[in-house]
Amino acid sequence: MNGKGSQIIDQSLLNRLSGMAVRIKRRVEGNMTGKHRSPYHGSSVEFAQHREYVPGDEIRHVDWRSYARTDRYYVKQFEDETNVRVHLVIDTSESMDFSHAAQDTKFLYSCRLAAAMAWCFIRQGDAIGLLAHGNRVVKYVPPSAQANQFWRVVETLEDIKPHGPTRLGDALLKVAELSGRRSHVIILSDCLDFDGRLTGLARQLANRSHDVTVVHVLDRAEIEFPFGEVTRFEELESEEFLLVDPRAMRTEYLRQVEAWRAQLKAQLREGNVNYMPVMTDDNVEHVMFEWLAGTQR
Amino acid sequence: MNFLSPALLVGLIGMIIPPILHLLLRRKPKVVRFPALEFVLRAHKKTSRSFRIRQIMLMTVRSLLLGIVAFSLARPILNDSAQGRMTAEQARGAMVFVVDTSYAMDYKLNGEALIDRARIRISNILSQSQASAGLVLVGGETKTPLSELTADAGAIRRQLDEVKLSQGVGRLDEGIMRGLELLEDAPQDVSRTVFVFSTPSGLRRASEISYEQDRTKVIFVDVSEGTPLPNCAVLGVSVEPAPTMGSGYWKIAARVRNFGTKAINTLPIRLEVDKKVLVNGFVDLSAGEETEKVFFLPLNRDTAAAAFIIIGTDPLTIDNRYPFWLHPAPTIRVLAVNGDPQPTPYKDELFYLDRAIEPALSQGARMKLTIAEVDTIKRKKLKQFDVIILANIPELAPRDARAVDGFVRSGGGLLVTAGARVIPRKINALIGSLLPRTLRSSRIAGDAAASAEGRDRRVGFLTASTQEHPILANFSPDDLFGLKQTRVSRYMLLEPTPSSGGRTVLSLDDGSPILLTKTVDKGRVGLLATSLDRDWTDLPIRVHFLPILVQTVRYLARTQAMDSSTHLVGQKVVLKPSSASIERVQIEAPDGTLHTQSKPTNPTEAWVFKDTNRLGHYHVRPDPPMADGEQMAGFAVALDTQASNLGAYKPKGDIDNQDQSNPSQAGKEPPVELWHMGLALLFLLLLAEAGLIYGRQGDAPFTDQGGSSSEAITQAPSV
Repeated sequence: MNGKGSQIIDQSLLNRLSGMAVRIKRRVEGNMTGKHRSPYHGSSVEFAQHREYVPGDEIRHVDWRSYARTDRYYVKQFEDETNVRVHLVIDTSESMDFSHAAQDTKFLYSCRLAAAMAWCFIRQGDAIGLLAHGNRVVKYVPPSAQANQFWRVVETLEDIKPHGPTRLGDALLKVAELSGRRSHVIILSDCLDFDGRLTGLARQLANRSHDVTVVHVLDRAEIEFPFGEVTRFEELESEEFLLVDPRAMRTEYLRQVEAWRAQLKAQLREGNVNYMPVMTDDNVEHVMFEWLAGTQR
Repeated sequence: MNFLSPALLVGLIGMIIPPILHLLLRRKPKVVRFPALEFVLRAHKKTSRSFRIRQIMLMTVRSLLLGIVAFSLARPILNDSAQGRMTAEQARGAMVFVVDTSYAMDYKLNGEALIDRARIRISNILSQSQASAGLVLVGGETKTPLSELTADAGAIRRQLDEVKLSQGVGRLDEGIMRGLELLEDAPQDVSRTVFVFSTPSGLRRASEISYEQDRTKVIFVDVSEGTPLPNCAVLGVSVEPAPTMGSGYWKIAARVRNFGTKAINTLPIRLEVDKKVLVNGFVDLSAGEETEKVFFLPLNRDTAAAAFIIIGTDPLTIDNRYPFWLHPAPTIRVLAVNGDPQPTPYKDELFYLDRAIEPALSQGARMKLTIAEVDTIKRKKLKQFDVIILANIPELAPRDARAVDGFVRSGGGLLVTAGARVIPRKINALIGSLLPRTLRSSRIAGDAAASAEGRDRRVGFLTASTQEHPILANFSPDDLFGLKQTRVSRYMLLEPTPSSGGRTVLSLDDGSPILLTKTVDKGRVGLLATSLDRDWTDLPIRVHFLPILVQTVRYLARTQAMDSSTHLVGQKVVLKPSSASIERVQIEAPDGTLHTQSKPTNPTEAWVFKDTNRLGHYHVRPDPPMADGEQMAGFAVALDTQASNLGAYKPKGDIDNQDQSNPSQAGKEPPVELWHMGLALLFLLLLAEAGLIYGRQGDAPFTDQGGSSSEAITQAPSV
């Protein structure tokens, strides 16, 4: 593990996360028995529903107590637990390479979150993959449940340097292409992509039975706009700049950002997409536990 | 609108300080690489316009703040009354205020004294001007309380506040000349103005002279502003004997004038003696009329009394009182030399004289008669007498004649009466130089007149040759008509000496002089060309005998009227000590001030007293007091009533022109100072600035990062 890897991985955090289980709310398709609910009913101990007996059903699944009460044959169906394919999509656009007041950059913070999430998934036997995407696919690690998959992901993250504009829409199209089965897609981005495709594609993924989570990583300076004197703002992903007095426009800026965040949240949740806003000054451990708690509900 | 400190308007240049500071102190902007530029752009699009407007307003407010400060410091004034406006040139030039401080300025116009109105107007002018100014006060004398022009308006106001009106009448022309002298020290390139504040009467007198000089203007300011100033005044008082009212009666005539344009009926007038009202009366005065109010008063007292004539109150009270002294008439000591004494009383030459004077004495007439005979003259000290009567004396011893001559020439009075015993040749030789005409011989009266009438009558009738002679001044026409009944049977014919210098008082109907007077050096001589007894005339038994005799003696003794002469305020008074031994006197002024005056060492120099600056009675006492308690006559000082005529003043020339810069109205209206409005505006601008700053900073929580407000201008966005 090189120096950057030490920034991404906090071993003590990984140790504390070792005993935590990640639950996927939606049913996901896997090729191994795992912790997650499968769309296929199997032989797990968790009762799912009754169904009328049809020829071909196994006799052992007939619920004889129901037969005694209703004089009709019902078959007991049980939840089938399976492992999950997780796609970690991380935004590598240059806008992620921003930090204010000596915080971590949004990209580094996203890497740390992604590593922690990958650790949780790999520890419970899920397959994890990584798609690093800026304006194109930067890196792709296919999903795998092998033990060294975690380190493969981490090493990939270490090698990425944020660059170029954001094309989150393209990233989601790539995910849809790569994940044929129902899987869990976690997108870590600042979402500063205003072409309007992000929410639409995320909702499409969700409609295709994928469990989609958008981790909206922002720097607190982007939320509170703490600038006081005449400032030349330069765009990270382009050559644009603007010379303004921030005091004159702070209120309007905050209103715009808040409206944008609210709209993003509403649209994603409307499309059954999980939305999880985080700040780069939030404690990663707290964020992880909050995320894990959310997956349990 | 004008400015009292227009030079400070230079401060308006300060209005460009905010934009200059903005340009000079702009900081290099901080560069931030910021991912959410899209939102910054959106917010900027929405706020840039209002923010730019607010910033421009803020800079405008700050520029206005500095401008308002300069504007207020320049002391803007607004005078809505065009008449009260000074020209800007006058406001910046040099000026001198010549203020009349005579008693007339005490006139109460609507309850406010004219001097107070002058104070206010001068104060108003000073408030409008930045000029150096001087002050000349013209009362009884002309004063310059500030020796030179000063820019300290407060000093002039203080001097004006301390002004006490004089009871004298000053010479405004002299004050104006003094003002012009003060202005000579002013810079050459500024306008020079002399403002003359006075009553209409003062301005009338002063404006008769032209004072115009190059760059110097004399402006007459009528402090009454043309308002009629009705006023009445006592102009003078005369005191004369009134023998027709009885012995000891005096006629006190007060001259009163109405200077107003409306008639005044039943104006109260009273005579006060020793602060007691003795007589009350009323006078009616038509507009502008002068009338005489006469009081008759018996005076039987030995000491002088302070008296006032006082008329009813009006807005100017000081000229309603006129002081004078009622001096007791001196006792005339008469030495009558009887040239024809007779054992039978009624045949005695002086029988009728003695009998006539005796009842008069009992009624208060002041005459002391001493009778002597010709050969006893030498035993008399003639200096102890005021008048000597030589009644029908045939001659005089040369020594006695020389004594009589010296007596007359040193101021004594001599009455020579004719009679059968008179020897004209000897009399002419001894005292002929004293007589109005020398004697020729006795003559039976009536010859010439009777011849002219074609009749044969042996008497002549007395007639008054002139009524203007002091002896006959108190005789009415009826009295003079009664005098014509007096018969004269014989008289002394006089030599025709036209160059003798005598005046004929009484004559016969044929023109022959009967009573003549002549002044010889300091003395006076009378010649009665008929007898004092009934030998030649029936005059001694006529009612006019006593008045003619008493008036003649008074005339010869130079005491024919009471000395009630009154001096005017500011005039010198010649002191006349009753005794040559008085070397020093103490004079008590009406206000109680004591003045000590020593006799001049030069005997030819008059002993004068100058400090007559108060109206009223002055008491004069020998210092130290005389052993015999003899007092000196005091004197009274009255106002010079030429200032009492407060009729309207009509200005001449351009002053009459009621244009918008009429200088004679200067200071009439107080200027409206606008600096406090500037202050209010300043306050509002500060509030506006605070509001604008608050509105701007409400967007920025981190003021510690803010730059100076002058640089807080949004730069033109360039994307």
